[in-house]
Amino acid sequence: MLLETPFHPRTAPLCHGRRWRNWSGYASALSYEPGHEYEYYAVRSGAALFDVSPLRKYEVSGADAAALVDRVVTRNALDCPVGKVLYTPWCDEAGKMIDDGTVQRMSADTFRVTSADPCLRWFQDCALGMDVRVRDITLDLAALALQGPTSREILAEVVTGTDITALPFFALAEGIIGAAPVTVTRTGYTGDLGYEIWVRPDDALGVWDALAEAGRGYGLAPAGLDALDVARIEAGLLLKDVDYVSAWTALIESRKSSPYEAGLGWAVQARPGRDFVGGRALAREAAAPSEWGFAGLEVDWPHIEKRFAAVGLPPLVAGRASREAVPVYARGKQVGYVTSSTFSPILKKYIALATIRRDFARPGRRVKFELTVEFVRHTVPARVVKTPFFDPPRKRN
Amino acid sequence: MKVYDAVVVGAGHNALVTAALLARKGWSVLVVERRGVVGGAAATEEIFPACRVGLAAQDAGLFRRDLVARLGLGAHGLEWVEPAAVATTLTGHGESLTLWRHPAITRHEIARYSDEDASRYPEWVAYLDSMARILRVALDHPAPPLHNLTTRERIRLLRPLAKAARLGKRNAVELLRVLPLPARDLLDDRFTSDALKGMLATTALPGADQGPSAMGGAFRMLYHATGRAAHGFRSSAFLKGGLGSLSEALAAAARAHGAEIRTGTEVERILIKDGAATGLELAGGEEIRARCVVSGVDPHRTFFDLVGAPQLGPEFNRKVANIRMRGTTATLHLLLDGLPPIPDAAERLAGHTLVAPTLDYLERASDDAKYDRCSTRPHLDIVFPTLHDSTLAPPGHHLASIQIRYAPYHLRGATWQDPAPRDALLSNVLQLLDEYLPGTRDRILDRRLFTPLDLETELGLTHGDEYHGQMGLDQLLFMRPVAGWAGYRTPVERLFLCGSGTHPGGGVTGAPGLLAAREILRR
Repeated sequence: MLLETPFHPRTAPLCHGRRWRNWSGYASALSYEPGHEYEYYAVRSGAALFDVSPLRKYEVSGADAAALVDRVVTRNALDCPVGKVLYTPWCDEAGKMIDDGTVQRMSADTFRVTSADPCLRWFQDCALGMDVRVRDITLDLAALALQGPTSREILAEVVTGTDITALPFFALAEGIIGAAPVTVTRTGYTGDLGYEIWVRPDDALGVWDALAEAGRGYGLAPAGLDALDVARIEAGLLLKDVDYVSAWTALIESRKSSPYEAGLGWAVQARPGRDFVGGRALAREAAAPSEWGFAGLEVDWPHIEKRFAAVGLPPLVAGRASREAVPVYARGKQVGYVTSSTFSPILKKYIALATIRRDFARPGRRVKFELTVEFVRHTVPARVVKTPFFDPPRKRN
Repeated sequence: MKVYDAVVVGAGHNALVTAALLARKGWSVLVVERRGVVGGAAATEEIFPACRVGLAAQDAGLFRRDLVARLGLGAHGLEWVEPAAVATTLTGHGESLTLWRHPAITRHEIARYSDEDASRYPEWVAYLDSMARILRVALDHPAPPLHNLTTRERIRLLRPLAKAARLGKRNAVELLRVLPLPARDLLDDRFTSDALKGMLATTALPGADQGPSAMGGAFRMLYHATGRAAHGFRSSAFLKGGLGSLSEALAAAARAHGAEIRTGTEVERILIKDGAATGLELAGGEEIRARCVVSGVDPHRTFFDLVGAPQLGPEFNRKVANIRMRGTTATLHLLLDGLPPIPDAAERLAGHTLVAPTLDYLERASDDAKYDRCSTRPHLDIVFPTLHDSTLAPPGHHLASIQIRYAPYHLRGATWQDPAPRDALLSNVLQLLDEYLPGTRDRILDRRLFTPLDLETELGLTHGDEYHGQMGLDQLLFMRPVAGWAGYRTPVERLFLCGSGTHPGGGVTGAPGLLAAREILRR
């Protein structure tokens, strides 16, 4: 029996497709309608409301809070100003990724950290000998993601106590919806203009109702994980255990990924005198790079059509994002594998995230993507491109 | 500023062994000791006016003989005393059973309790020796880092394996069978007499907070039998001047090779730069530079107090925090105006004198410790140092040093700072003396109790654990001090460990210090 999030009384009657999936033990809608297309377009042309309460959330507080967060994550958290949010991975001592999430600096000595999977003991282990307290607040905080071009207007109608329209990308603000205190962060997993709203479970339904009411004129739709998965691939965002395997669960070394190998090299931020977990290993890797890298691929669509046409079929690619690993070739040899792929409805392209040998990971490189048509394997051309595939200016502006 | 080749933290016996061996190779070595005397837990001190006695340990029999020769300790005044009585167990009503160094007398003595046990005892002595001999091979070599065996380490493993093989494959297999056994099973298999079994089982108790029915006890019995001739029990050998004379001889040997020793000097922290140890900061701010730092203090104190957890990785820190460090032993020192009034006291009481009448008695004593209580009826291991060196006390006086097991560091609902648990422990011990050594109480002139908390405060032993981590099967060999860090190295470059918290473990053996010195010299 799956758990219900604080929003379940609202999401359950809306979930006409009855398509639920287990997300960290919670019933989470894959889509509310029988298909996810409408919800996807809500993300890109209106606004979509996702229940993201199953995210793991931690509060880090105390005099050494900043020092601890800075010790755990790869990004420079010590210099993160109050009111700012960082997306960051964190690593084990060998510099291999454990998990990733956002770090919100609530005050000088209070942070909130989100993660995909439980990390409490790890954070506490990292805190040994420090004046800091780490608390699991997963159950104390419900969360909604309001994502899409109209999300700002919707939010502006319901949030009081702060000028939400002025909230910069990856910043946070405290405000009020109805009578409920909320934290609003300008973050999300869609690569679009969007916000996440963090609220006490008791106030969850009121906040949902206020947003649903305000969203009527703005094309707001509740949306599920299927739409989110397409959007996050377009945004070039990684999914743990799909695009990388956590160092904690990988059975063999080669399955682990460093941030560099996962395309997150930009998030490894050294600072003179900074000592963070995995930092020394990552410095060594920076000096002598790994042979593996990360790439976004655009697969040539006419070739896909041609392959299917040859057997008298229209292109049968999954309407949803695929998490199937697919080999990638170059010069007749396998040089890597696609970890996530999807047809991008907005770009009208077939796109993929790939783990690939570094030599082939540079934008512009041409590789081959394996395509199976009627039980026969073929390859079709693909091109390495920069991610995000879809990056509208409204995301930051 | 002078840069030493090595600076050693603490002047416990292992640290002194390492310092002496490094200095002997021409290294410039400085030893820094917080206390005014060298030796740590192996020091002899003036506990009562004009009386000198070892604070914690008394028995020197586990100390590696080859070290005595190699460091020329004899020239520095080391004099052994091996009393005719190895151990005497008190069985109540003034009765006692003594194991003597002479096998024929022992046999005669055991026969008073059981003819059959007396007949079997010589086979037991031979068995224990053969097992201990193989175990010695493992203890005499560095533990292989099983997590990451390089070709070179595989080659290094060949020698001990070949040595063990020479002692017989059947014996080696038998050793593997017997190591995890409870002491009770090992003894029930051979003997019937409660008095004898209780006595022999006491050798399984030091180094753990578990009784004779707990798994792994047989290992500790064998471990304690690896010293000088155990005679089926454990080493029972003492030094003129007490254990402190060993530490002083080691210090003298180190100095003779050019090492400096500064006592009364507290280390504030180990200095680290770019992940490598560079020296020490002393209390008061003085800095000492060295090419490597060697810590003889326990892993907990080394890493958490002197290095600082934030300097180390979380995975390593968790392992160190999980080392079972539990002092379980209190020591009561008595100043007496004469020996306890039992027949042949001077002979019978010259080894270890035990209150351990049955296996069940010991098990009940350990039951209390399981629930963080002192044993209501504890096991006592009494040594009379004045029987080995009469000059330790004024003429006509005797000293008794009583190890009381169990007196756990953590007490439920109380602390050792409270007078109540101390008073209760003292009164329990005195009552036992009335039962087992009647008349002793009337001879007490003075007494001093050292609880595990006192050992922590006085000697810097985390949780009063004189073994620097319990000698359980999970904390041995390549898992000592923690898995992945056998080999005396640490995550901090050029910081080494050499104390009892490293392989092969605790007790006054000198073996960790010896093996650590070899590893450091190999670098």
